[in-house]
Amino acid sequence: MKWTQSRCDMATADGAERLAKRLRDGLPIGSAIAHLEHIRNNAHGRAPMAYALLLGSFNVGQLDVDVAVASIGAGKHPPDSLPGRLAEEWYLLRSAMGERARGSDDAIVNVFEWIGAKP
Amino acid sequence: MSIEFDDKQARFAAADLCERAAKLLREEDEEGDTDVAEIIGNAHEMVSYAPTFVRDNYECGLANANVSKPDRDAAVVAISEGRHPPDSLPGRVVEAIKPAFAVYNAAPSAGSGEARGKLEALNNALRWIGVMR
Repeated sequence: MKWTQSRCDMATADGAERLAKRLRDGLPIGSAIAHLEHIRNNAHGRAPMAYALLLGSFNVGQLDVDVAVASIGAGKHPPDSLPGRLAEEWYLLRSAMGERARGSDDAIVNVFEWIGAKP
Repeated sequence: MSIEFDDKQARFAAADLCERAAKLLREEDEEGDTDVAEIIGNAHEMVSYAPTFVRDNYECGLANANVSKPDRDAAVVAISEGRHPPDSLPGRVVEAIKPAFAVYNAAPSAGSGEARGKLEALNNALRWIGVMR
């Protein structure tokens, strides 16, 4: 499997957001930035492998890693990525607002917790 | 400006650079020519090398991300004071959603006006990080 540069850019963006969250949370980042550079440069078509290694180093489960790699390959945001999660919460919120606002508070709090900025 | 960062501030500043790099990548799609690798390289040096170079790398990373000099100076001061830079992702998201929270907390059984304001705030936040255009 070989990714186009736009796929590599999506994977780099996702990796950079996950890395930023770990940095803010004070968690180890190991060789994450080296993996990011490999994803971005896509040397010898190794971006998918470097992306999988990056997620693995962040303790993402193998099943979620496989889903994320497949998502990027299909041009979609991984389900557990930051924009993906925000979009998901957004749709949840919008849906809840349509049903007398119930649940919308939780949806926003989830967004804040996920990005590490509690209100 | 003689400001240096401690380890925690260095991580926050590196995180800020990573988020800016991600945002640039998502915005530019296939046509962009910003050297995101340089920004990531700056973040790498910030968390890998001597504290002396941390602030310089942060400023350099911001410049690579096309941040203006006044905004770069404001970002350096903010990080050194333990705050998010005014134009950073978490800072902007918090800023965008805070008024909505105030409205919602004041009137939990929000009517259509409050609901609209809350949705608008979220909408702004999502637009800023590139989820919506």
